[in-house]
Amino acid sequence: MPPSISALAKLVQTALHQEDLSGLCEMLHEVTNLVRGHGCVLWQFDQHRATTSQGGHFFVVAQWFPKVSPYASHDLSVSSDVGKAVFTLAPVISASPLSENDHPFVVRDRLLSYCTVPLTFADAALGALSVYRNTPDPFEPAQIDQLLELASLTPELFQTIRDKLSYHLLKELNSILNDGDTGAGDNTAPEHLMETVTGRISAAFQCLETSIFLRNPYLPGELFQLMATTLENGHMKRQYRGDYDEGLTGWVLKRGQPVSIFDLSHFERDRDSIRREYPRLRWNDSAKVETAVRKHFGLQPHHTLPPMSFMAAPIIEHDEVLGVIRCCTATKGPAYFAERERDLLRLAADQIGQSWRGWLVRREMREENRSWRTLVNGISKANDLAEAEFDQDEPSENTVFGEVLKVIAAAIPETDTLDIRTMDPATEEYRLVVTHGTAWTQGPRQQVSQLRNSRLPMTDIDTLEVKAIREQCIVISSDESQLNVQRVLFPLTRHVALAPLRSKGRTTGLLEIRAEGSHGFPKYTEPMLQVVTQQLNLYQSLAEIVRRRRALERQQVMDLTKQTQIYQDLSHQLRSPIIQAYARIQSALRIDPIDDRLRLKLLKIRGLCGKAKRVTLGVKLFVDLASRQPINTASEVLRTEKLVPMLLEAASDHELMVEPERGLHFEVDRRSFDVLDRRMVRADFDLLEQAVNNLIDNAGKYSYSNTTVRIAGGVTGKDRFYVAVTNNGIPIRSDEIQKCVERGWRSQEAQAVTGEGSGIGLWLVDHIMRAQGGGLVINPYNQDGLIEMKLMFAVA
Amino acid sequence: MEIVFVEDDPLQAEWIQEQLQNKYPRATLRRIKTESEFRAKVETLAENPPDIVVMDVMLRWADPSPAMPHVPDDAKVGHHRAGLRCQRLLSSVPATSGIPILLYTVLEDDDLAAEIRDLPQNVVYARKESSPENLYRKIQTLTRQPPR
Repeated sequence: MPPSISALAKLVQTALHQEDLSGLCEMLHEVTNLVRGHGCVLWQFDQHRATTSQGGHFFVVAQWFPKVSPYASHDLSVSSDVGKAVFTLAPVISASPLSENDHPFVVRDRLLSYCTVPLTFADAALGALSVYRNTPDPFEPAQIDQLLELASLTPELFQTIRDKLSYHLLKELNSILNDGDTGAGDNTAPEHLMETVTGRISAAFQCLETSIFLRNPYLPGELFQLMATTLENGHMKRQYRGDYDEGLTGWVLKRGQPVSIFDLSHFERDRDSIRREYPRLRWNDSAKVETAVRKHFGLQPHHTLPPMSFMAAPIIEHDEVLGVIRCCTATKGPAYFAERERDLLRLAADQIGQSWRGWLVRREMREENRSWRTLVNGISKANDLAEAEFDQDEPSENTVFGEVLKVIAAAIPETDTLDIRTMDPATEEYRLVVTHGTAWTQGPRQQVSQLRNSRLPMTDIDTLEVKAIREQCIVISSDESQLNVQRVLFPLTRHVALAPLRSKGRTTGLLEIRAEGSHGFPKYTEPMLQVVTQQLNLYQSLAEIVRRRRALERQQVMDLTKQTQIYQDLSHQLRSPIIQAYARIQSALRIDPIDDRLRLKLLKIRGLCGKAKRVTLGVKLFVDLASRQPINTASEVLRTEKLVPMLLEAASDHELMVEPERGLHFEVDRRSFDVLDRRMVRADFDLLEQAVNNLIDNAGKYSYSNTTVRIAGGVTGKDRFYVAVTNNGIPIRSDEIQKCVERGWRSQEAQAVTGEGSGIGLWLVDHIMRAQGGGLVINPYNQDGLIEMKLMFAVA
Repeated sequence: MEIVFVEDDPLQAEWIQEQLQNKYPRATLRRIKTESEFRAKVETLAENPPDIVVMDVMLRWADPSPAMPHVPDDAKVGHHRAGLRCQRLLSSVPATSGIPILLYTVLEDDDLAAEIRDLPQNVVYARKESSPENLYRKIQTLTRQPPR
């Protein structure tokens, strides 16, 4: 391979291994080696920023010298040897002594000769490549040819490095921002994401400072907030409004256009030409970049600053400026940001813009979801409160309304003061019933009281309130010209939302919420108010229904009380003559001798009187229990000599009351009651008589023909006295035991064999026994296969 | 004269029987105790119609028994209007529809207002009272039988 081809191949290989822009310096290093030089400088002609009167100058794009700073801040005029080479399109070879003016590094590196060859950059800019030697060896023609070839290839290869860098950077940013979009970003603060982004961009452009500012709608004033910066001095401004007086960043935000400053260290020198391109642009180094640069490169104040190239691109999404990304001062060569870098920064800005928009949309969705969740949970609590409130004797929806106002304040961001007015049907004025928000309590007491007592008349004035009430629609406004009424009460009001409450097609109230902040209400305020007002309407209707029901209940209680008194009176009137008749029959039966037929008739009449007496007592107990009055008891010690005769009489009377041909017998096991002699049992005798007769009556009704109803006393294993009535008749299923003591329940079979009664007998017995501390035990199948009902008595 | 009286209460039945026997000593008295028994005897009544049926309104379906007659659906509603069901059954059978029926009950007429509003001409309501006079008067009206 000819030496020139071999050299080109080496240069290409070197270029392809580079990962960042400083790869250009490595290429210059390779060129230096290939032509046996000591160092190498790549120059570019800039015709716009003339540093002398000759028009245009040459600046150092990049250089390579051993153990030398990567930047060079000096430039050359068009009359220099570099200019000669560029404008004659021919190599210029120079030997000692070299001009120190043209080459400030000559003395430093003791350079003795150099060769400069012209070249053209990818963007058609003119430039040159100079190779310096610190040996007296002259540049051979072959070496000059080789340098010409290497120089012609250098811009293309540098372009390749840039392309590679662009591809990797955009791919990487896409990955970082997509990760943020799909998951981590929702849980991680966006500042962290942007920190990664600035770090990556800073590394790609090898710049000292990369910063990102983004507009945060959740900050007051919608300022552009510093999201991340690689400048570590802490002087970077935290927030920007986006105005000309805020320097470079403010200009980009204001104009929505990119800015590129060749070298900020010459800002004052180049100001006129800069302002021709960027009108009203200012720079006052508020971030103290210059100090940071000196610190980074270890420069004293008397040292010349390195190039401080600057570029910034607006972050725009859907024609809206969302922020800015800025880069300043390359820490490695090349020292200046070229057009290619500015384009890449704009592409990166587009990616950031899309990601930020996505984050804002997701944040908005999260906010909305949070608001809806808050609303739903709050309404749920309000429902609980409503349930408790509506249990009150005099329920008022205003208690629940107050809770709902708190819920709205928590659910709808920005809400400051809230109230609900309801219509006074008499005057059709809207009277304040509940309020929420500190503005309602601030200020002198009298003023607050006046505020609270203010009434909203339904006049013809064209206010938002009147519109909401008349048109029965939700009104949301931030129009200052419409907020006069609101500002009378609350001067700081900037936004208002009004929602009418309705019942049966009429407006019955008005919910009003106000905000003082700059953002205004979120867009979901209207659907949220629709839900809330539906709920408020419901509370209002329910409260009205409950109030009406309570009034009816009170009326019913009064009616029931009167009815109870009437029942009690009738029962009393009925009971008295029956007891009299009963007593007289008992007296007649004691006449001796007495005719058997007369005796039988008297016994039957006694049975009828006894039944009537039980029915009247039953009516009284029924009425007492129905009106939730306890059964009054007057207990006495139960004695055999009183109990057994009562049971015998009951058995005798019931036997006479049943159809003789049914062959039904009633027996009292007198001996079984002897247990009473050894025990102290207390009971209300009248109630006991009622209970035991009810059981015997039931046994008479439901027993099969030719069987015996047996009445006996006894004690349980726990020494509790009982009176048991056993019979053989219509069976009771085990699942019917509980139902037997329900009021009005009778089995189908039981119902079929009675021509009277309503199924309250056992219900009464159960209550009677429980009122005395005892109980009723129903055994549908005792050891003899009989139905057994036991009146259990409390242990005295 | 033949009188069928439908009464489930034994003491009440005893009293009615005594009063009817006093008033109509030559009359044949037949007692039916329950609704099921009445339904079973409608055919007999058709074959041998009595001069009058004195019908209680609240009646049990049957006497308690392990082999109790099945309770049809229309009787499952209970005993409160059993006598009216019996009356309607009798009135619906052509052979018995002409038999005079006296609905004899302790229920007040306004308790039965809906049920007795459109009774056939041969069916009359009478309230049970402590005196039998009302019973006699209604029987006389329905049977045109002069009392003894």
